[in-house]
Amino acid sequence: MKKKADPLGLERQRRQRARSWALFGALAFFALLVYAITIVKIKAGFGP
Amino acid sequence: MTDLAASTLSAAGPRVKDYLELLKPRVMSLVVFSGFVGLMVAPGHIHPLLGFVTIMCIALSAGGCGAVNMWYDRDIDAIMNRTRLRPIPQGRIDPENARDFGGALIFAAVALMWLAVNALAAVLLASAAAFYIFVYTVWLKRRTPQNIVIGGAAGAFPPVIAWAAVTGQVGLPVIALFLLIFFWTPPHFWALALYRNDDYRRAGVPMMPVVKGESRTKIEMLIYTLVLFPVSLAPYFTGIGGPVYLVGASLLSGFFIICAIRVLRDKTHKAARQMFGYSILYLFLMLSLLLVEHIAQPFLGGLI
Repeated sequence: MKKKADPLGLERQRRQRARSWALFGALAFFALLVYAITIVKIKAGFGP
Repeated sequence: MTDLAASTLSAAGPRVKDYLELLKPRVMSLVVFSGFVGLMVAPGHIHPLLGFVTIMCIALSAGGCGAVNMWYDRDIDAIMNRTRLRPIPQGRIDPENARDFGGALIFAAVALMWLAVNALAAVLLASAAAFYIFVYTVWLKRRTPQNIVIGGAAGAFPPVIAWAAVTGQVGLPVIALFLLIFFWTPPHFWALALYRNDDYRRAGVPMMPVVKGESRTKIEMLIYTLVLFPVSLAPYFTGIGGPVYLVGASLLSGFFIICAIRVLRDKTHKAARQMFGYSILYLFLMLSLLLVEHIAQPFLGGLI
């Protein structure tokens, strides 16, 4: 038997997916930023 | 949107857009711009990436403060027309969720500033956030009509933080920028409070027009714009502004005084609305003058 579409459930899923991607993007950006800062600091010799 | 449709949508959970709304993007844009100007006019050099990190940390912290503020003020936000469509009063985001989100942003911003830039900038960033949340939001906002006068110091911090990021210290020139924003804040917010008076009264927020009345507020606004005039010229005398800034600041601050006089004479709230709009433009142009003159100086040499 064909299952009835649940618009609320679909919307909930869509929003959950969007939040997960946004969080993933933010964390990936943060990791890249820390990596780049480390490179800059190493080149500068961690001086004052 | 009907209540049923709204509740159905909120049952589907928060959208990414709702989280972005918690950060008060419009307030953040002015904060970021003032920080950027502080970074640019500071003497010395900062690696472009670290400069970017500095501005990003200021933005994240300001956004985090906005989210915590919305969590704490959710009861009055639901009453006021200006704020009732925010994500928490609309039920689109769980209040504790917003608080944790804001707290995490502030923590991340301060930690990153400390690790990537320097300890002083991080301490100043943490102090500004603590001042905004504990001194302004929790302590002063619901207790005294001087709430935005004292609380305004939090909004004046960004150029100081950026300056500290570049130089590792807090110099006299950037204190002039701090004072410019500090004395600009009362007439800016009271112009808004004048035409949103009913909103604030209903919510029980003791803004100046609610507690002391409109006439007294208008007089105080004029006094602050008069004080702001010499204060706005201080960046010239401390060396971060040149002659172009001096002339521009005199004209812009002079017109700010004219706006305050018009508000004083106006029986309606039309002049207050106009003054609120002008106050935003004023700060933007003042900071732009400093920035443009600073960028143009090497090219114009002895001309300015």
